Amino acid sequence: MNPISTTTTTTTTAPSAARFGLGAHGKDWLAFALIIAGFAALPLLGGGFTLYLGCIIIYFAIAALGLQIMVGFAGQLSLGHAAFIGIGAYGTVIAEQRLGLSFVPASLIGTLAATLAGLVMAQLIRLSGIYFKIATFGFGIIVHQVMTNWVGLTGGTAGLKGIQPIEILGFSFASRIWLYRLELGALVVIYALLLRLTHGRIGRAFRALGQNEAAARSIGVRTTLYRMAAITLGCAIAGFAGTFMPHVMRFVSPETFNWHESLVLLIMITVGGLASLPGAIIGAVVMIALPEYMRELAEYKMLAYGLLLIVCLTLMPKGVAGAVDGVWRRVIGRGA
Amino acid sequence: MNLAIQILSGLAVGCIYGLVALGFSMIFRAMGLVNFAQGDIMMVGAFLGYTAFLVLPDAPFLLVLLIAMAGAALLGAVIERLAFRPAVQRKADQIYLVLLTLGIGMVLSNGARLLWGADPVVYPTPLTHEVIMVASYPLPAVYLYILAIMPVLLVALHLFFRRTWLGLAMRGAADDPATAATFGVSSAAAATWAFAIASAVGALAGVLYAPITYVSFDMGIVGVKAFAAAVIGTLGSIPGAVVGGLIIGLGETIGAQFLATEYQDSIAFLIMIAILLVKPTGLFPSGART
Repeated sequence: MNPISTTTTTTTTAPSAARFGLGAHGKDWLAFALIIAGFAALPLLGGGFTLYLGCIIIYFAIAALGLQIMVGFAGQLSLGHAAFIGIGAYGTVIAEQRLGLSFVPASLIGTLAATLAGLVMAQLIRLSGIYFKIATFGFGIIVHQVMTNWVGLTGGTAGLKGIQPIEILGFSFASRIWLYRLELGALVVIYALLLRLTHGRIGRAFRALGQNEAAARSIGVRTTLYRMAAITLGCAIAGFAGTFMPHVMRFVSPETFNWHESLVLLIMITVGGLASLPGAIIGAVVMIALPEYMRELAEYKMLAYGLLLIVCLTLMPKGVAGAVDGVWRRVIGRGA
Repeated sequence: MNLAIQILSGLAVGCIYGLVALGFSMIFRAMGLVNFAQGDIMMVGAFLGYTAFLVLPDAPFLLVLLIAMAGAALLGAVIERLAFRPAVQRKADQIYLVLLTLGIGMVLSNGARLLWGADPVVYPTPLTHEVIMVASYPLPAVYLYILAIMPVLLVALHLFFRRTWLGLAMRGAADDPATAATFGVSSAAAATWAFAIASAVGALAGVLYAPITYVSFDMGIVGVKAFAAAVIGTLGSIPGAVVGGLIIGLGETIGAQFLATEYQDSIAFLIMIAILLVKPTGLFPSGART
């Protein structure tokens, strides 16, 4: 399949071809190129701390992309998403330390564990609307309690330390710049895959689901199947993002995966702009970078997050990406 | 500990969950909205009571309760007017509204941390340490207050919704906004009242709960279990909220015996998920719009 063939099918079959048509595709790939170029240029800006932040931003950005598909596109709100990052992170570290595996198989195990957990949670979609949201919340709390209390496996509140650097085929990603490059590669792959997905048939089904579930069912979208697929995919990507996390932080502990972190993820995609892939990444940058450069205001961080969320929802419901898009349209409009 | 005492304390804590759950159900019925800030409103109510105790050291418990409830009612009304009404009028998506309540919860809990500090405080009232003997077992006196106030509140709410003009107007606006409007009932005003009353009930829960536990900016997490309670009893149903609260309260105290106590916070959700899998909309007939 090449992008052009998907483009034509989209324009002929999508009900709102004008909105998701030819122009939007090119613009989405342009945004993709710009964002990846920005990340690639980051090491030029500074070393040490900037790179470390960059590493954190990227795994959050990957997780936020997954959540964006699930929440922004398919409309399946999850209030426990941090738990799946946690499953990926713990799964990887436990596989590395207990089974003596290297990063690639360990990361596969971590991602698979998160995927399976997501599949289990997806069984709860028999619950309609709001009841499902609560179930995701409860799921997150239960996973967090297991992480905190299964001391033998997870090290309890102290967490797990002594994490070895990533090594793939004998090449060590011990230095921060190489870890950053590895993560960036993962981001490119996930972003590109999701970009293809959102432009294709599955993406349209997700969008239909997110906009009006009853209408989607009436035009023949198999809503149950697609809801489950969106949830499992979102959780799998969160787990994959989580496999990098311990290697950046050099430890894992439960409080990184509590319900506040799930909220932070939701704020990321909202601030960036719901149903926008670049929005998820912009949100991750805003939410991670800003507070790090305002360390002395740490006490106000969560308050600021809350206010930011309220302001975005009331004044800028399409998020930063929507605002940028609006400016872009105005510029184009004047030119024409 | 004696089983009867355990059941009694489970019921008392269950009443607290039930009171917060009432707030969830009322707002859900009025606006079709789950207000995730409900637990944080309870927390603010508890702190308002704390401040009232500091300012008026000799005030009777009942007066403090009323002050906290009035303050929370005002807060609830302001939140509805400033944050929700614009979003509802814009016909914003459910997801936006849910996220909005989450944001308000964060602002309330972290605002409270700035105002009242990060350290937990204890209610400066004799009630906090008062213990009475029931069948030669000690029981905190506040449990009896809770068990006594709950039925009074339920009767009051029942009469309010069946006998008063405002209560009937609110029910009308919740069930059929268009018809209610032709009788001069504004559904927006009804929503403001729903928020105010739900917040006042939340503050009641906070002030009653405070002597049992510490008051701190993060005690709003109780709202999470209360939410499970509201869901078990079917969102929108007032008796359901109370029964759901009692189920969670009892389930927790009894479940903690069989499970490790560290997992106590999971019990509410295990009960909730189990019940939802059998009855996907909760145990009670729904009185709410969907």
